[in-house]
Amino acid sequence: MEIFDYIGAIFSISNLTVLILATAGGLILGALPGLSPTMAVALLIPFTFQMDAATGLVLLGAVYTATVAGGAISGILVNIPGAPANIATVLDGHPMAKKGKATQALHFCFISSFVGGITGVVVLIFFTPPLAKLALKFGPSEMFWMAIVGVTVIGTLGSKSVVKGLFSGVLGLWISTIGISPIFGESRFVFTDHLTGGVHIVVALIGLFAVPQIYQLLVTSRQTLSGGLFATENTSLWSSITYNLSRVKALTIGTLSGVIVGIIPGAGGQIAGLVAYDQVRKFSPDASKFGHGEPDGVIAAESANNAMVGPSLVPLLTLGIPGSPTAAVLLGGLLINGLFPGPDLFTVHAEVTWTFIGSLLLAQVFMLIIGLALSRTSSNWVMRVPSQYMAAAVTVLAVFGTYSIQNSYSDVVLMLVLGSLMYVLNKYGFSAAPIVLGIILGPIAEDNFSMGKMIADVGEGALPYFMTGSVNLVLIFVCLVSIGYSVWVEVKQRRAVTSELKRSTPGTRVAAVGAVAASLVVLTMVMLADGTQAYDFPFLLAILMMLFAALLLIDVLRTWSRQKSGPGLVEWSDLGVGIVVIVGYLILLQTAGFYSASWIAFTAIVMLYTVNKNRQQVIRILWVSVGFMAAIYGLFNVSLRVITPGLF
Amino acid sequence: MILKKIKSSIVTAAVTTMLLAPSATALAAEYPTAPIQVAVAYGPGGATDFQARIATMMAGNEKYLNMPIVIFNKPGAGGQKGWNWYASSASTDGHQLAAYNVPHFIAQSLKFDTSYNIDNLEPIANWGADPAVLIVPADSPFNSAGDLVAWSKANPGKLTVSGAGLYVGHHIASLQLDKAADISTKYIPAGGGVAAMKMVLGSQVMAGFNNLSDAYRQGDRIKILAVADNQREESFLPDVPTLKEQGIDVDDSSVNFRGIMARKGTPPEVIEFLAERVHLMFQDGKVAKKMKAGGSPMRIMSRAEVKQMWVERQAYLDDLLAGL
Repeated sequence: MEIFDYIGAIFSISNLTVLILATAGGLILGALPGLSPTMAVALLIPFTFQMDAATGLVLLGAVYTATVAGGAISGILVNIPGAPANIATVLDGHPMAKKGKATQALHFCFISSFVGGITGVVVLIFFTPPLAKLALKFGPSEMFWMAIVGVTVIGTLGSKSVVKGLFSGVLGLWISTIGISPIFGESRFVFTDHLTGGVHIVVALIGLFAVPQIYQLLVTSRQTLSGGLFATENTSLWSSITYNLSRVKALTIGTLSGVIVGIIPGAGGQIAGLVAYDQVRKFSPDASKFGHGEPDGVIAAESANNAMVGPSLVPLLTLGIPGSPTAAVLLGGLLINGLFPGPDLFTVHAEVTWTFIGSLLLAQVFMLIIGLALSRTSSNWVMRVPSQYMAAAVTVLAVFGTYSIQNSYSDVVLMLVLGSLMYVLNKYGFSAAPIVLGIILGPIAEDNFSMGKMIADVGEGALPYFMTGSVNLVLIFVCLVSIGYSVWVEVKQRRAVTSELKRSTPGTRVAAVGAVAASLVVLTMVMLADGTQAYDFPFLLAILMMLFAALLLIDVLRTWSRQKSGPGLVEWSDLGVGIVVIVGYLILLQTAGFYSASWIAFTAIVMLYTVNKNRQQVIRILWVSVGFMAAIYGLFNVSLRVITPGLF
Repeated sequence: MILKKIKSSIVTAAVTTMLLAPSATALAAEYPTAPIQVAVAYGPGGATDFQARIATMMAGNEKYLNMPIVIFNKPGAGGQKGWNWYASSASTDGHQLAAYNVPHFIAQSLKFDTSYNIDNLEPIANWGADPAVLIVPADSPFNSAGDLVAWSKANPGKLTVSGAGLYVGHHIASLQLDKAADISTKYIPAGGGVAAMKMVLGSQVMAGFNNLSDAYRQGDRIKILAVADNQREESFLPDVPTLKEQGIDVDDSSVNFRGIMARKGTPPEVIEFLAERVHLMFQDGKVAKKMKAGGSPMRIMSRAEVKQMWVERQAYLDDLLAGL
């Protein structure tokens, strides 16, 4: 194997140093909301200008690997996925942490990432030529069906009921249509200037996951005096390793899903974890355990999103077509060094290419070692932070993380508004994961459908175009199986649940009425817009929303009971002050500088939510707030060169 | 907002005072006072982003701007999102600049309700020009632009042509081809140059217009039939004829010019300073070396030249797009 000829170069001192630093840095960056793998790699490209080609690529490759795994740390510990790729990890990872198994969840995360990651790179080394051919088979019709496969996963993702999950997913698809349509150039649903640019996926991710968590933390700090996030634990690393490696089925499903999704150009890798999670759940004898801290969920999701890294480089290295958004940035890194994708990479530039691929393998090893070493420390550390401090820190990090994506204040507003709505939706049994998945899949489904239809209209016609061809047929089959299975499970569950439990509660009534109202609003907006082609897809979505909302309503009416309305689900009395602070924060961000506004918001949140303060504690709060802001300044201004508006 | 206004008026006041003193050196001491941001209206990793990062990498040198340039991306809707933001919300003190793509932004400003047009933006300097090339899959029966035109004449409306999006250079080239050869092709706007290239590689479309630099890198995985420019591209593709040479009268109006611009309202001294220094910066040997390595054709133009080019393009596009 050619790679062995270059093994010496991989182990050079400079490469090893870069690998270790990049892996450690990547794990930390990946754990911060907003700093997705794509952004981390883009930020590092200028640093590679000063390095030789191999070292520069080793740096980018190691950061790519490590940030993907790092996004799971914040997901497991604080319920905020660092990047879209880590959404599936959170579904069972955070419940594990809440049960006192945070360290164990992190162990599973790194061990599974290692297994998946190594397999992915091995696939890259041995199967590049045939896989590149397969990647090219994915045209608009195949991409459209791929997105539909993703949509069928939506219903089972962490929602209380399949119908609520589907409603949330379609809502996400609709959110993705806000802004200017790339195919028709038309501006849709822009009823405020903040929406002109649409809803960026990472902005939605931070809002939908981080903001409800902030509110939850604030409520916790009021209601429990200790204020800790989760309980202590005692897990040995050895027992984690043996358990993890014994879960062969979860690891296999995860790794396979990751490899397959990775080579499909443009599918985004972001859905690898979700597809794997859905599959492992469907194959499990007891699907009801998922969402409540089932280790298999973490294992499948994390093995999948790291298994995706290697294969996503296959179409990149052979055809110059990136398999994921991060791989797209990596292409820039290759070109700057004069390395053009194609056969030349493995002949003329063999040394650089093989050093790069070899170091990807080595990066997995370092990621495993550093990750495992960090697991206990980080979970103990996060565990000891009182909730009000955590809430304040997450608020400021969410604002800076969101702003730094595209230097946009509108994004910060959108993030906080979307997130606040999500907190209420959470209370009524809707969850964030299907909405985010909808936002990711929306453009893939719509754009490819529109392009496919244009091609089909001048050729054989839409029906044969979308319904023939081996890849199309396989994907359609997968869709049907996936839908059939979900329906079967739902029916089985409904029979099993006794009529006593099925009585509708005030909560489900509000949810159903709210869903109907929301879908009516969307439908009205579609109807009011002059019905050009650009509104075909939103119209379909509005109809689907109506359908699912109607199903929710029928359920409520069928099980009507005269239960009096109980206490409200949302703890407004505990949240009032916090919401006032956050609104004030938004106003201050625009009038004062980002850093002074953030310092004030941080201090205010901690002060207002610390019960029974004495003088000593007040002084401590002030010290912590100054120290925290200094760290934020160092990270965003000094290291990442994010320039914020205002003076300071 | 208020603070920003106060700040910018202080800068304006400072600059006006300096007008009285013989300026260039005095001004250089005042501007820039912080790292300069350059907004790129396309995503990280795309050709514009990648070239912008190389073209501005020497900014920190005291010969040039004496402050680093920080690139940030505002992608969406073929560039409309980023440029809309820039022309309506960016600061006018010279610390927020943007990268432009011609003919994209001009064509969009004519066809859509955008907040930008050539009158509210100030060109600084141009670093590159990437002509559109006509490409077909490697196993395509077409071996020249003539073959393709002949087939399209026999099968009106059936020829599918991919490109990076609506009203970008590739779309303009495709419209020009239709007009010059009197054929009607079906233009498929993909979500970016890479996606458009993929559709040609996978034979999902019969032909495509794409960036010369990206097509060149594909080697023999595709066939390049013609360059949509006034002359051949001598350094990368000397053997590929222009459309004109093949009897199809298509000029250089679709060539993708890339450069740096400022917002209208930026103090004239700052613009003059930038026009001089950025123009020099693009000529740095290190920039040229990296651009060449990345297969990106450079075309360095001064502010005056770019200004004229914008006006000419606008007049031409007005005419071409009028019938649509």
